[in-house]
Amino acid sequence: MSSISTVSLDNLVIPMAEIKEMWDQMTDNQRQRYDVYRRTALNKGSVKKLAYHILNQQISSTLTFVLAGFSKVFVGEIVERAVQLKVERGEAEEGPLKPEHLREAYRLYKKETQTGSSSGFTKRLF
Amino acid sequence: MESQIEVTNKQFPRHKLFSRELAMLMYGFGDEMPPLPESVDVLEDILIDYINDICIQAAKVSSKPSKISVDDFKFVLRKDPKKLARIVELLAMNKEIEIARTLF
Repeated sequence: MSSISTVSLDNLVIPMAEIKEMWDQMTDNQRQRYDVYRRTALNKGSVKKLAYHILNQQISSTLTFVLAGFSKVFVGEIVERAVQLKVERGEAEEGPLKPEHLREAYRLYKKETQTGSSSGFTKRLF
Repeated sequence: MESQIEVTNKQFPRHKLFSRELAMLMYGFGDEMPPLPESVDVLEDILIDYINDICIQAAKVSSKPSKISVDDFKFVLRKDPKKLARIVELLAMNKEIEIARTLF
């Protein structure tokens, strides 16, 4: 892979060649969906406001940016899981995601990332 | 079983913070367009619960709880390679943008 097709930021390599290859092979529908996925981000003002209410402090722009960023990854993990659950239940053709799919996805997510309730605070969400 | 979501801490603004972006993200990540409004609402509650959880953990591990830093979040997410990698990528991008700005 030539160095022109990748961008190195310290040890981070962004695989632009692979992304281009993927893009070329997509259908128009897929491209549209991918485009929305790439461009859409959580509103920074809302994230900042939410963080203010939780932490009782104004967080920096960088931190807002970071928080919005990995939260988007989280949203992806939940939605993808929910879609997977929907398909596994044989409901693939039955319209958009239902709340129960998302709730189950989140329940499984929490179960899998549990490091033990070190805070002693267990809140039953569902 | 349809159970109502109970968020014990009702201080912060709850609904319609992220509705628009979440609807688009749901499509981006595989849902149909348009999504069910109630699903968007549930996803928002889930997201707020998650952010709340992470922020509280960050405050707990911080050496300076009154001034939370990115490093606190990096520690909280230490076992989550995907999100951690995303943070590193975002910070690198941010740095590049700042360098580009100073060159102007």
